[in-house]
Amino acid sequence: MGTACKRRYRNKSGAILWILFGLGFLFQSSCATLGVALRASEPAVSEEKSAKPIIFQSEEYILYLLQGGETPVSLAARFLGDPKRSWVIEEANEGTPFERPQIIVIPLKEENRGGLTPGGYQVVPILCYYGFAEHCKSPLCIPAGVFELQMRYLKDNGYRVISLGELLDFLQYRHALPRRSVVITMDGGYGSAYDIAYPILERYGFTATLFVHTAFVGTSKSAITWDQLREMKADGFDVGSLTLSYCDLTKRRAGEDDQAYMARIKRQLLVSKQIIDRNLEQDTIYLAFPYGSYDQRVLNICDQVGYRIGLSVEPGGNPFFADPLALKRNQILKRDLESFITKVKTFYEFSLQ
Amino acid sequence: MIKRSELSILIYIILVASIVGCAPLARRISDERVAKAYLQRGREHEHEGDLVEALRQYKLAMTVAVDCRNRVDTKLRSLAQKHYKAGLKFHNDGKYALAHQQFLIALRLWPDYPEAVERLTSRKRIKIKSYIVHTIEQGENLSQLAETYYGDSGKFHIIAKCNNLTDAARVHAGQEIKVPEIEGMEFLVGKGTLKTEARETVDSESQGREGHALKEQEHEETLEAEHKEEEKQSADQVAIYRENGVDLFRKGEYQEAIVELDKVLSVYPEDSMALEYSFQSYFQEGVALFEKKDYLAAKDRFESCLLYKSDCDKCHMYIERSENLYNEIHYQKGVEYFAREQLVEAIEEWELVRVIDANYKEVDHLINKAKKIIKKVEELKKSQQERE
Repeated sequence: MGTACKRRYRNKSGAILWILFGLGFLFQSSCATLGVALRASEPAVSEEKSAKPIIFQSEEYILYLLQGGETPVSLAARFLGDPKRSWVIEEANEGTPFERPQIIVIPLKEENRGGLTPGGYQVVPILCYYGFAEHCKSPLCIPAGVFELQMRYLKDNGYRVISLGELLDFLQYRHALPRRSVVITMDGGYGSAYDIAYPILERYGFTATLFVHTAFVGTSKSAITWDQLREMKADGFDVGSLTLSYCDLTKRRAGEDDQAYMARIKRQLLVSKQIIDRNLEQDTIYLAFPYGSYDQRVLNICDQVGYRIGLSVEPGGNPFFADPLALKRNQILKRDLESFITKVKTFYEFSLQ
Repeated sequence: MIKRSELSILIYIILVASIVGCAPLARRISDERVAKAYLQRGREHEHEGDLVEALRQYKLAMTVAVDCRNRVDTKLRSLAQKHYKAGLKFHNDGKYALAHQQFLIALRLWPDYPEAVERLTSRKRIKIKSYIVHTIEQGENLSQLAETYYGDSGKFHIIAKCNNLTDAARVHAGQEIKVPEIEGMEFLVGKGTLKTEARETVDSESQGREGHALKEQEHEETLEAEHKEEEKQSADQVAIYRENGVDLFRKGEYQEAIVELDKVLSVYPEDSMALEYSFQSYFQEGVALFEKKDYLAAKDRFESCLLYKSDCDKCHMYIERSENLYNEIHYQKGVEYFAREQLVEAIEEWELVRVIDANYKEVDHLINKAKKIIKKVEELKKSQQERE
């Protein structure tokens, strides 16, 4: 081979090597774009626009690559079968930006039914309101403006208003609840629950449980009516008993013997339940004790009669191991937001290490 | 030497290989990195001793590719069992607050731990027929009480739980302790010494409420201080209802006032202010109804007044007048209908009178008379129809 030929050969070989090198570089670069980039909280993956969502799935989790346009609600509807369970996805991905190309964790099994953490456990506050008015004098009445502010606080701070039915599942260690769960109740059967509180709650997408003493319903201009209760029930509100005539169940009347006393208490609990059952076509299982007063014998009758949840006014939140028939409830009597904030604590610090 | 055509083929092959080979490789890299990221976090949490979070991260990793679960899962279960056993020991020693804490830890470590779930969420209730109050003497403890009253020192838990004790050993001389008599269990004390008021309480083993009572002492104290103000407020609820009742009375809203005052009387039946304002509310409502000529409703209100003040002369007078006016009105209406030969309507009016007072102006006789006439008319009509 001559020198010229060798040089030509070298030149050609060099060119091929350069081409191969260039192709290799291109190959590496194109593949690198499909690689994993880690963000602060969760890993991100492909940036390739045409890639399908990479879904890894086990019995317990789905890892979903966001494509853009999805929300926790749409993912909950798609993967958990219920858009209302969007909180499961939100809480499993706390701190993760919900934008492509993040990987989103979708838990398929309930992770923490008791809300237990090393530093304490979840408690569910139950708020207790009485009457409402535009301007109030009595501490048992909350002005409409203040109620609106309180509901806005709950909405703005990620609270979820749950029903007593959902709380019962939590108390039976059957289902987990959103970390910031709260229950709203209204005692007394006042018409203002319908006229004032109902529209405000609707505005925020919240519901509540109303407790009525049946002898009062529809009997005066300040009392709620059965029609109003039916309307609220159709909108997702619950109705429970506050006995027949709002009497303290732990107080025995003068001259009343044990048998007569027990019969009276049973009547207060049973007949009020039957009246509500009949008027609202339901099985009434929620009870609020007048004055929050109960004792163990009252609880036993509640059990017999068929109540599943009983509410006192002993302040505090309710962990999953609380007795469903003797739950605590925070009365909302003051009107400042600071005081309200202390009533919606959802975590109890207690070492579980 | 490579020919131009060979070179073209080589380039083509490389290009195809790069396109075809790139996607699965990318996928492989992605899988590995995702799994590694979770594994890394899992190891970090495991290293820090946070096994719950470690397991979660490993499960996430396993979702992608790698199974790291079993080792930690076994470790967690064993740790949970350790805490559960510690809880049982505390419980047997009467250290209920500490036992409760250990059961919670066990459940945190192993969320499906059946025994721990049962301990924490079962709410069986047992019936206590009655109880005796025993004052603790120097050197006496709950085991001795259980031996004395039940013949079994091991049943001290029942006494401890009946008294909401967080630690069965924390009793002192002079302390009053309730010793319950339980249905179906032998009680070694004569019934004459028992409190007559029956009481019931919850199962000492598994009552949910105990969770609150069983928290560590310092937690209880903090909680108590936090809620001191609220408790005060809730205790004042009766006063609020009383005030509401009086307010409503002053506004002339008597019916609403009665509802609020009834709430007060259900707690304090002898509350003089509630009694007085309830009486006044019924009375004023009665007067208003009397003036509206709704005599029957007025009579009902004045009769309610007598429940509060049986010696109310005015009430008796109003009841009598209401009755008389009611009877007279309906009697007269009956007469008018009778005169117009509207016998059915006449009877209806007189019936109203008869319910109140059967002897009023021979109303009974008038009803019978009207009925006879109706009967006679019916018979006449019938015979006429037959003739036709």
